[in-house]
Amino acid sequence: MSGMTDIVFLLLIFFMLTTTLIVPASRHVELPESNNQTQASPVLVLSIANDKTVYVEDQSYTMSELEPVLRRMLEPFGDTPTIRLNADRSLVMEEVFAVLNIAKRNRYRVILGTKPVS
Amino acid sequence: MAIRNKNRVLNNFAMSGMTDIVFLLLIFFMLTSTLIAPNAVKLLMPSPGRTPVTVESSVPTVTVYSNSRITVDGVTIQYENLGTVLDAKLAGQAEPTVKVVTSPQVSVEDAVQVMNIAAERNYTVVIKLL
Repeated sequence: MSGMTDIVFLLLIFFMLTTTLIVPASRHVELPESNNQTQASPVLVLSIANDKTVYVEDQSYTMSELEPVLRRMLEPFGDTPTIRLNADRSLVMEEVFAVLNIAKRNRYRVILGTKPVS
Repeated sequence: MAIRNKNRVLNNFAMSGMTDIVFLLLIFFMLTSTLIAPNAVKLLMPSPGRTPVTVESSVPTVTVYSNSRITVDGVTIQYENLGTVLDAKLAGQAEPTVKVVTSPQVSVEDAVQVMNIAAERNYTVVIKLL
């Protein structure tokens, strides 16, 4: 009996991990679809919602407030920290580039968050 | 006085429980270290001065306009043909790179679709605003 229980628990854990952890929580945005994966590990998640509100770790900011906030938050992470940008799929690229320009000025690496193609 | 110790030391040691826990931990760490590569697209921006102009001329430029029109080096193409066009242009290159230029009003979804085509083929994608 215990052997079967082991296998059941293993399967349970396998499916829990594969279904939840691979789609990182992004409450405010509907991510674009892509099966491309990257090994870069972001130290901070930045989301831009459909109404152009910027969320840094669930705290909302306007685009103009963003740069000092990012500088303060990313200071402990060394020279070129990676940030994950979760942009809503219907957002225009202009907003994405606003963040990218901040990143470029401060030498942050940016990865654009996507969700697996369903 | 008959004082007897009720606790008896077991001679047989059960190892199977510990083995279970070890295997569980092993699998947990295997999964956390490999499977959780997040779905994301790396965004690289061109850095002026670092890339010599001669190299840049061999980099095809994919331009995405807000009306979903896509051009490769100025020639309008269909989205479905983008992969084959890029393959033809980048055949034999050691470090194939694609420059994706998007108009400011292009939606993130459209831009990601184009970047996907290049990323699927392991081409480096550099993005720029029109």
